[in-house]
Amino acid sequence: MTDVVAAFEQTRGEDAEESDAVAAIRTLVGVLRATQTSTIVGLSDELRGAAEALRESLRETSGMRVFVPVNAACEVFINYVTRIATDFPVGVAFDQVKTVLVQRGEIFAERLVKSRDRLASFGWKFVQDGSVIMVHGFSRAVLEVLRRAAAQGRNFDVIVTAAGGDGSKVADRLAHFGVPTLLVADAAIGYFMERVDTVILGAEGLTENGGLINHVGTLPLAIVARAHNKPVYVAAESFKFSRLFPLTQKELSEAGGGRVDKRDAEETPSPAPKLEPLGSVTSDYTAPEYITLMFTDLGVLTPSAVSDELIKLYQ
Amino acid sequence: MSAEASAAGAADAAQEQGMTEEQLRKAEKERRRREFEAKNKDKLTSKPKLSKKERREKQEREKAAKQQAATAGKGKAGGAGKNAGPVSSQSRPPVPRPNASDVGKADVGANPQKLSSAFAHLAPFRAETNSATMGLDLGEHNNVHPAVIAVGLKFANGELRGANTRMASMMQAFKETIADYERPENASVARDLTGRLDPMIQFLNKCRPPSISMNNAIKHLLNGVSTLPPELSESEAKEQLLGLIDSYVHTNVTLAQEELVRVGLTKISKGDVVLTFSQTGAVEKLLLAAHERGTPFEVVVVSCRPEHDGEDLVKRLASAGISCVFIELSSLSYMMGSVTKVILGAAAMLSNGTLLGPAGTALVAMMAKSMHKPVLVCCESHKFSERVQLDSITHNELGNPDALVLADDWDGVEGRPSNLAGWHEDPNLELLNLRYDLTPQAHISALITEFGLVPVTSVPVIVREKEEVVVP
Repeated sequence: MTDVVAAFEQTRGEDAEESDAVAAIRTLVGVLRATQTSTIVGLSDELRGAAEALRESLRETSGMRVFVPVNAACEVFINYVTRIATDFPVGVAFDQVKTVLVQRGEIFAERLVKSRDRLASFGWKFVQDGSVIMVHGFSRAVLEVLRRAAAQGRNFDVIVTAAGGDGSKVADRLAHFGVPTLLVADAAIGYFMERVDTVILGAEGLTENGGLINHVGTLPLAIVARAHNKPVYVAAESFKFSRLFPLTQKELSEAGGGRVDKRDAEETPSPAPKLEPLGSVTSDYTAPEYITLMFTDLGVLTPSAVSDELIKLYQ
Repeated sequence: MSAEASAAGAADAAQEQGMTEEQLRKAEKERRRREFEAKNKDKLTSKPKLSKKERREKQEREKAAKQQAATAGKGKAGGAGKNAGPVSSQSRPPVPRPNASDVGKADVGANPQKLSSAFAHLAPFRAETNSATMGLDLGEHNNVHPAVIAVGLKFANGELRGANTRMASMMQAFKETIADYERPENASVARDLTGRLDPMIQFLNKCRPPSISMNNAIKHLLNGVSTLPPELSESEAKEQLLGLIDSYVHTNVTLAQEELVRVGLTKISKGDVVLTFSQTGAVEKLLLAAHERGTPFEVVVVSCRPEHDGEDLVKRLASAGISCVFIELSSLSYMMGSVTKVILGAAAMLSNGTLLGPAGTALVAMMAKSMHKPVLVCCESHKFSERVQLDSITHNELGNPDALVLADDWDGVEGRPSNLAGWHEDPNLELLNLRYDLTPQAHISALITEFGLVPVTSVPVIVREKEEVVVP
């Protein structure tokens, strides 16, 4: 199944602005197209196998930020395809089914591509004129919301956290849109929060209960924002809705995300072996009670709506 | 005339004379107080003299009581028949009652007039467990199937309990009813059978207030009966209904629990210390399955009076080889610190995400929340209700107040007499044994159902989705 991974990497390389989930779906449509099997069950198995191979490889090589959306999008896609396939009346030739499935798969991928645009069309109205926004981590969805707000003539300032180098990338983009920014250290969020009107966050994934998996440092930011009663908005495409349900931070890393970078451990003068994880963490989990609203391509949702959508999707 | 009818009649009479129910209750309480004072005269007279003010108050009280006693007396005379029936000691609840003779000689059931006004709207606990005192006149209701009567009486005396058990045994009784059913000529099964089931359902509800699981199952069954295609023959119709009952119980209990356990297993990991309260089938199955899988974890079982359900659970878990700690609810705050997860069972989940559980559940969940421990609730979706309830008072069930009196077997002294033993005679003392309480959704982290691990806010979504499946 290394060819699946190779195909994924290739699709991903073609358009750096595209989300990894879209690349994964394109890869799976490729699997659909190339399949030699002649039964729906066989097809479904083949798709599952390809998705599993992709997941395995990503679990090894990249963090939550790639794994969660790819994992969630694959699951939704396979569900979608199987549902269409089983809805066909008995007796329809498999080739015909396959053609329809490939078509629908492409429509599905197109819909994913458009989802960022769609969520921005709901989200930009929440950026108020004259307000100060705080962002954390690199998110194309958040950038799109802010770009659109600026294009609509809203004047606002953005405080960008450093977030391990992501901050300067974000500040560059925002400067390009003509938005004034202030780059601050992660540890300075408490200092600046009193001046912030709105916090807008991206997402690596949204959990079943409407919680947020995102760049490490999101949790303390959300807690500080809550303590100051500032609204926290999350911009995320609906393909990032996943069935993960971490109860603790530790469970997040066990589920394959929140990867731990062990390099820092070597610099620890006296490491505590009991306190896993050693070293630095890449993602953390923020509980839904810290999130005010979510901008998604399905509309502006409360966190609890994530589960409602997922139940409908997997029912 | 049945006891309830006469009590209602007395209440009506009292109302005609301009007395509200509350006044009636007050008068009764006053009467009891006077009786008590008369009995304990020697003790009371040794008390210090009453002040002038107190004396005046007392006189006024007595005067008011005298006026009301006349009307209250009528109520009492009518109500007396209710408790007059002989109570067979064989059919008592299976709770050990070492000093039954000490405990309330006169009336065994709670006297409804003795309840504090906050809970006066709840049906009083009924200790009667034979069909005659259950208000079942066999001449009048001779069409209640014996299987239903048997199940109903077992509900009443506590032999059959738990949401799953009660639902399944009720459905089994209805199966026998339907199997024995014969359609009268020129009648449609759909209409005739609905009419026949109705008094049986009434009877079961009278034995003990129905659980949410029972109500959902009844709704499903009646829906199945009323939508029977009219062209079916009698035997075909019966077969279809028997199949419907079987598949309902199988999907909603057996299959649902299997799936629920599979989902729940993902949340029990190595080194966990799982705290659980009371006992429910789903939680027990989950813990046993996790142990069978080979996950090393510990269990803390919390138990409390008067049911002590946790005792049975901890016995079974320990004998299966799980390392267990058993504590009383009172030592919860001490244990909670060293726990990693709390897993609770439920009698029902309500639409606003509230958990209806055995009394004490709310306390456990609140303590867990305050110490930042994840609270998981195991509940099969047939116990979900579209109802919303905001407090534990509006709907609850009263258990046997005497269960609170029973002396605990402790210090190796079996049946140590309780100091509460004479509570029936003391007008200032009332015992309240509430069966359920409500846990607000904010105290629950996740719900384990056969639909997966979901937040409690998804209860209405699942109720809706299920309805769509059932009624196409």
